Amino acid sequence: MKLTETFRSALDGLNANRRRSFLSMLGIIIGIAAVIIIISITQGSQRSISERIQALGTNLINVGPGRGGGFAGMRARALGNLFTLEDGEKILKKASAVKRVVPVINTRLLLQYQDRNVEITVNGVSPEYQEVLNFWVEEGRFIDSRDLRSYRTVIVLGEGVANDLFEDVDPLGQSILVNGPSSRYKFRVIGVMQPKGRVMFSNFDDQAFIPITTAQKRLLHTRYVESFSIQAESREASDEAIEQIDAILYQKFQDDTKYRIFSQEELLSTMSSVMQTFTIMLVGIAGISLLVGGIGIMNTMLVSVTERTREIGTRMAVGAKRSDILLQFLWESMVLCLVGGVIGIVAGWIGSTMIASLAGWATVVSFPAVALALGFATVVGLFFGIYPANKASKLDPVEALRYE
Amino acid sequence: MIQAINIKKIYKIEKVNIAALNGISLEIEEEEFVSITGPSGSGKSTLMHIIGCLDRPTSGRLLLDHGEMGKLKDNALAEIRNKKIGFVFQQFNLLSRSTSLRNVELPLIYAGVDRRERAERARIALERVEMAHRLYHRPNELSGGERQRIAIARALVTNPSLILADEPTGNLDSKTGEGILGLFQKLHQEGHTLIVVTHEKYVSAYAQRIIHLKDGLIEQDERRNTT
Repeated sequence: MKLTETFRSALDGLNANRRRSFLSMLGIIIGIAAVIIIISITQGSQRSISERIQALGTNLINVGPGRGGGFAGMRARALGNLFTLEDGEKILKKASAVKRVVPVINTRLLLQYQDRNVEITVNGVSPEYQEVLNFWVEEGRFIDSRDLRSYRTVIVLGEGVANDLFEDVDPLGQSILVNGPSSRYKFRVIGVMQPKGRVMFSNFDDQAFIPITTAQKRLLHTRYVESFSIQAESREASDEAIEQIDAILYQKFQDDTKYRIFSQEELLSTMSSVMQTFTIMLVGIAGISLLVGGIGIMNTMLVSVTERTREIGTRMAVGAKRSDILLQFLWESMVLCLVGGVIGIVAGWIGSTMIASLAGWATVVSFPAVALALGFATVVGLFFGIYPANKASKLDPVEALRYE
Repeated sequence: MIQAINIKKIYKIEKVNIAALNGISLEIEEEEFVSITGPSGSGKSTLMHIIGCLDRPTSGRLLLDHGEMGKLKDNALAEIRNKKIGFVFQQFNLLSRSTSLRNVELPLIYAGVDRRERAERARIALERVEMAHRLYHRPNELSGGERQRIAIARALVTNPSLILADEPTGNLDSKTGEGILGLFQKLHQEGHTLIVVTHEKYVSAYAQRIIHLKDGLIEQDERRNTT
């Protein structure tokens, strides 16, 4: 007998008891929908995380003080008088895979304009900061090398800071007061950054930028810098750049716990491996609901086989082979699972779209997720269908015909 | 042609052997109309199942059209049932959710006949049992006699060399039963071989030959001329 005919017999069988078919499908529908939603959420957030990390700048490598011990590395931070501007210049000169080096000092300071004030992170940086962090000035100009040379008291505000301090007033050219630990300076606003938003743990819009030399000499009275943001020549070169930087720094400190080098690549792979663990765990949980759904299907199929014992006997009497009966019932459970799977995919897709619009989470319903869900449904259908179908095909025709 | 040689069937129920057939030998020629009678428990249904290749004898041989059935595997027996044998049951055994046409098509589906030919042949079979006006009815929309006619059409549709009926009138009133038997007679005249298992006297009156079973043995084999 043709496959399509066994398939049609299966459809007839399911059609005869639509409510039961649907109810036993429900477990699969819920399981598949859960798988789809979970995968779409994790993939969506993975994508947005990696987009944001990418937005931090291309081929970015960070060099900071090492976690030399103490509570959460606080000791190292306290003893962080480590790097100088010369280290940065050395790295730029000696490490061939390095394209740009930006020394950074950041400190929390109080900014005042007339009767308004804000306490924010102020970054002392060099002009290359824009290119390295892929973060650009929108109005006015960014810090340039002349600002650096003459320790000018100029400041570039993040978009959020500008709004908070100035509201309707054009901030360019205005003077604001910056309160250092021991002194107070009047700074001239020379630019406002483009909006960038929150990336990882810091909100770029709530920061301000001043020349690093100004931060060192005028505000903090130090000759050290806190960290370096370094741009590698290319994405491929970033591993090489890390090795070169490491060699240079090791030469100076003779202790690789004092400093720490981490690339964007590393950050990305750490994040994605965390996300992957989450995904696997959640999909595993959803998988359990699929398992329960599968058992429901098996139960329905067993009841169906018992109920239709006489029909099976009749089919055998008119010439159905055991394989025909097996296929018919296997088709039934497969159809239940596949139809349930398709409904579940649609439900999951609607669900994740709703989550995206209601909770504002990024969700991505991807082809692999859909394929995975359908694959799951098929496997469940086969696995839980084989036992009832086998039972049906093994019936003795004479006894099946006698069955009341 | 059916040849049964010393057929025995022994059921083992809770370690006790119960013999349903104790050694039956018989020959049934083509175009015969045979009735197998006997009290309940005499083994007539068992004999019918064995002749119909639904069951296997414990010992003895069965030949259908000179072919040895005992050597065949389950799949081959299913094919024999499909091609050579048509069953008519007391309970009709129609698929309750399917139309008459679909019910009659069932053996052709398993024979792998394509859709158009199937419908055509099922229609012809239904015409032969005078049910051409009930093609798209479901069994629950039909009377008992009509249902049995559908079942007979299903048995006929593959043009089998043998039609086996197990108490075909058992669930019908005697008037309807007479109609069914009349149909059998007509099929017999058209050249079909028929075996009807029954315990009712008036049923066997239609047959050419009556085989009477008792305790798993042939007690009487009587031939008569009805035409």
